[in-house]
Amino acid sequence: MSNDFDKILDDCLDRINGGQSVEECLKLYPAFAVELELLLRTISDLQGEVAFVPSEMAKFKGRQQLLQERVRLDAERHTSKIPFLQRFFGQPKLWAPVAAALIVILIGFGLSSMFTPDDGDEPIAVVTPTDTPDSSPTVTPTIASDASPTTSTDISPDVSPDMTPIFTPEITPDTTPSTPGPIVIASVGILEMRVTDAWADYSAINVTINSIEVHLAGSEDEAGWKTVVSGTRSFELLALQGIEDTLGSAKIESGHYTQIRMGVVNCEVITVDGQVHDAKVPSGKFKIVGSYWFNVEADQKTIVTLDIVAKESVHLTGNGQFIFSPTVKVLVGGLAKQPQNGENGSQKKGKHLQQVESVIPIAIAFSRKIGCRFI
Amino acid sequence: MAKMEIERKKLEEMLVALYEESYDKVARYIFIRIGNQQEAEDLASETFVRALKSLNSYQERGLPMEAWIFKIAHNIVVDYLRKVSKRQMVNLDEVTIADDSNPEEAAVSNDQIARVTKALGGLSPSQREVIALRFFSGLSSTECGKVMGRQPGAVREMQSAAIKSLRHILYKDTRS
Repeated sequence: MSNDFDKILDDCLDRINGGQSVEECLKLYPAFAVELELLLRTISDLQGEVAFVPSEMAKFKGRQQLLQERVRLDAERHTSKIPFLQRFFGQPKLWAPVAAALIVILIGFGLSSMFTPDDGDEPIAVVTPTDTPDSSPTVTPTIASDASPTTSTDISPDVSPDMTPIFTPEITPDTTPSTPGPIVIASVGILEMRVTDAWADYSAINVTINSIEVHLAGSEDEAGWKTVVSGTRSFELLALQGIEDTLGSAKIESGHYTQIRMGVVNCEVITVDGQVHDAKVPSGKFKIVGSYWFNVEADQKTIVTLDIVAKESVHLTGNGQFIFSPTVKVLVGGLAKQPQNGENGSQKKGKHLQQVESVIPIAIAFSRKIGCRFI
Repeated sequence: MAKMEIERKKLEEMLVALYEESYDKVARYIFIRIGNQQEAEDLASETFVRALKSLNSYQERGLPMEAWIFKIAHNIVVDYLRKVSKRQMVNLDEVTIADDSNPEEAAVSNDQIARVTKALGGLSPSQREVIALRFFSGLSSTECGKVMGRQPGAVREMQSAAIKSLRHILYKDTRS
């Protein structure tokens, strides 16, 4: 009996959760109406009293956190896939001091070896200058395992002919790269740049840019910059609240990108009284640097949205001068498959991308407030 | 390896989609458990981030993803309550009301929230859990059972007892 009542109550509660009224539920179970009503009204009142709806801002922030974490984990996995040696030698700042330290240690070791008195037991004594070439054959294998390329060059004239070949393979130039180079990745992906905005206290903010470039992590400074947008493009920042304007896209080398720089030609601020002001742009270009950012995957499309926060980007100085000093959030958007090689013709390619793009959720993205430094 | 990567990406997509669908439910569940709106919103976000980090453990458990998310939310709430255990479950000073609300409405809302959370405080932890999941997050008794690791019958029994207790507490509260 109690079990039946629990089931009926459960059914009514499902109905109330689904939007039905208490009265509608009571009509379905007239035999239990009295007891049911008390309990259903308790729940209905309770739900009415705590009508908590999370704020859109909190939801937005949470989404950004989630997407940022996703990109971070993705970048972590991406990094761990690169072989150790490639990672090591791809980092000039890392391998050079280590190599230098190693050489110093080995030289030191070699010199100390040369001046160590011969006690007759230690194989290393064989390579001291006082030893004759004929005295060494029995200890040669041991020396080979301890020797270094640097020491071998110094001692080779005094070493027996049997020893020399054993040292030789250790000094092949291939074992140490002469210069560190960027990781070479042959594949390309498409990067599309967009722009959007939150709100501000002005009627309009017109921004004109002439370039957007992104920097491939681990590449040489200038060579690593890839152009995504070139030529003049204008957008009205406040008209972009909640929407995005595509600035352009380009096929660029796939890989991990950590910097963006945008050339700003001018910025015009229209205040609520209709007056037009030229905002000063402290530098023609501004650079956005992130600790980890986005990957451009091979044969896929990555969408990067620059969310320029208007109210934090335009400043009014004490003498009435407007300054455009952008605060930017970077949102990295979804990936879409690029058309296969067999699909030729730019119109077809464009159409294909457009179709795919329309079904991409504004998903894999992250946003972080970043400082822009002018260069 | 590639298969695992694809599987992982698929789960990530599911999680991101679920965020849109279930964020409000999770935030409401947490809110009713801790009584602080702002903290509830932050902890709801943390729930999804933690889920993303532990997606591999989700694969092992074989639960519907939403139920799994609520399990994580439950653990987060338990951690949170443990941290603030010296405080009351609801401190009126901590209940945040949106800035644009009318002060009078805000005061009424504060009182209502305090009354409800006080009433919930009179329930056992499992009863509170079932009320939060069932009536503030909108889960069915079967889904509640998956989150709580109980049979649907046990959940129905628990919810029935919880509502009766609630009624008693609220009625007594009104009368006094």
